[in-house]
Amino acid sequence: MIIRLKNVSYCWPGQQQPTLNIPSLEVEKGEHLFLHGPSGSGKTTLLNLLTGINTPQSGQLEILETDIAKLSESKRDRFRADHLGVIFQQFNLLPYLSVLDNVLLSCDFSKTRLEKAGNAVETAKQLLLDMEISGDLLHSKVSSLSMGQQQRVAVARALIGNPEVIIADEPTSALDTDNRDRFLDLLFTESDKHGSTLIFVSHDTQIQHRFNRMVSLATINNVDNASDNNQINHNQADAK
Amino acid sequence: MKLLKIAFKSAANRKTGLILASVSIALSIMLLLVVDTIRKQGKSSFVNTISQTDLVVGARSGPLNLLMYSVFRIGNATNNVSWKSYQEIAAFPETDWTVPLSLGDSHKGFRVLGTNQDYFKYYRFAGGKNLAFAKGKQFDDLYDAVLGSEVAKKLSYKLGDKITLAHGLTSTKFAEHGDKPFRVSGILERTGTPVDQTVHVSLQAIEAIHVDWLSGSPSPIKISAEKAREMKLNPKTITAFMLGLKNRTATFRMQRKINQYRAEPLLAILPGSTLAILWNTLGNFEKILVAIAFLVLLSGLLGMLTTLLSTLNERRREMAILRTVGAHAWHIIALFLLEAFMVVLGGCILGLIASYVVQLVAQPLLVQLYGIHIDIMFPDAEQWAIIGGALLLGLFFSLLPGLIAYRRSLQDGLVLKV
Ligand SMILES: Nc1ncnc2c1ncn2[C@@H]1O[C@H](COP(=O)(O)OP(=O)(O)O)[C@@H](O)[C@H]1O
Ligand SMILES: [Mg+2]
Repeated sequence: MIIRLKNVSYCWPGQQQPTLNIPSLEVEKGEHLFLHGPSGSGKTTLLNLLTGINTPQSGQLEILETDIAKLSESKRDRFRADHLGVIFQQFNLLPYLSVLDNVLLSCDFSKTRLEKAGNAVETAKQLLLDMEISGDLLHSKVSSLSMGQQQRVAVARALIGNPEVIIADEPTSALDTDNRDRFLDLLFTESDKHGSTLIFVSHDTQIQHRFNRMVSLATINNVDNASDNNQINHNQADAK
Repeated sequence: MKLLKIAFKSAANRKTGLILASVSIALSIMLLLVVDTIRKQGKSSFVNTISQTDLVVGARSGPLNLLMYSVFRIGNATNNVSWKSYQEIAAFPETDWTVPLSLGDSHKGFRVLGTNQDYFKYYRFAGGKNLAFAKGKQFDDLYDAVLGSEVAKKLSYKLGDKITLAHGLTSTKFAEHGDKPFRVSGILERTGTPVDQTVHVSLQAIEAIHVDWLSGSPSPIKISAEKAREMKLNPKTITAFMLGLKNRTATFRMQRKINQYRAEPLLAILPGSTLAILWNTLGNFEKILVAIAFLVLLSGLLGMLTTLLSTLNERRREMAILRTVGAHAWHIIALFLLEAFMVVLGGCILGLIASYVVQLVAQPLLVQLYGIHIDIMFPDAEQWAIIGGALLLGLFFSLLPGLIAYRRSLQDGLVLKV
């Protein structure tokens, strides 16, 4: 078991109701997990816990047999750098670094991944090639890339140095159908090749059939307050 | 190392604001260094202008006025001292030596001083140093002139060159003593005092060039240079004189005696203490300048802080990306420290260069206007401390945006509003 959650609950500071209260969630090695749920249901919040950016107020959260909630903050940072690859919805890349340097960024903060990558520059180039980013773009500015290309570069960065878990937060929501399908094809091929486990968050149910496991957050999250969430969303909308 | 590269590239991506912050720090560093240099060197140059002269005596006016025109050759005497009084005081039993000073003519913007050969013997500066000749010797012939080092350098004169003196301080063709040219007989070593800006001739020479002048304008009857040699050239008045005592404990008594001198109203001053008074009046001004320079530095650093804080929003995503690839809290803070370090260091280097430029420009002006000589100087320990202090303060200021950025990166998590 690569990920194991037990009675995990998390409440954002300043909020009355916990956003998450998950009695149990387990993910096996090599699984492609599709996690879906409406906007505002707490998907990203869950990913924040899995990546150790935030820690649950109660419960156990084990990744690779490590209870990351019990680690010190800097150990959590190290753990994230060593074992997790993260892809956001968009704007994953630092605009002032070249495409190649953006991929290598994962190795800059993790010795483990630097070692696992072997010749990091060559590995990065190969990964970019695999992600169908042509060689003449290696030293280009990130801003000259299309959205689809940028997202594929983000995959290369997440994959370099073979992290055990890839976490993607709605990475296809800014892509058109063609680019989305191409992105998924490449993501699956590459994460299988590297034996990575994939946690993929989306509300786009059109693509769920491509995953070998599907979980609705509502079914595992025990906070029975859809109305409250709506309430909160309304409040947020009012505040804006 | 990698962090340094990230910090540098990130900063380069936002360079306009950062360069502006750097420039404003450079301005304040320049101001601090220049003020400090002028303060230190000005004081020593000032206090060193004249030493071992117990009294300076002139016609009665203000002590500062007398000091300015006799020692610094700035401004003019309102009245002269008669030759008779000078002779009498020179003969006082307390008097060891005297040196007459006669001012009023000029050469291409440099003052001409009529004196005698005792000047080269008794004039002391910088705690007791004698005047020394770089080339040639003191005036012998009636039409000999000894140049201060700056005069020779600026006008590129060498021994034997002929120069003409001008009547008064502004040279016009009409008021030139063109009929009586002088020969450069000697050039003095640099002293860092107003002597460097002076053309020295004998008192008799001053008389000779004025023999055919009547109350400030040339008379129609010309007397040639050679004819003037044969005339009696005894001066009737001098502008002021320096005086050394046999026993320095008599200074105040002698000063009182001269100030109460019956035959004409005279004023005797102690050059050392008058210099100190003058420096103190300048000193207040200098303190204000130092205070202003520090305030400018503070505002420069605050400007940098504002710039760093204003980038926090646009850098939110940058921080989130760095955090997800494993950057620690201290990495985030270090990015801001490094950026501040680059900005302040850039400002310091720029300010240092600018301070040299300003010193180069100010050097001749200070000599001309205030008689203060400054050497262009390499920063001393105190000035390095100012630079180091600015760097530390800059780093300290950048902690604030660093901490804010770090706290925000926690609050934001992966949820980044686009
Ligand atoms: N940075 C945050 N600070 C405070 N509350 C937050 C933050 N991010 C999300 N939340 C709260 O958590 C709820 C779930 O948000 P989120 O996890 O982003 O949902 P999803 O990713 O499923 O759209 C939101 O309704 C909001 O109230
Ligand atoms: Mg989300």
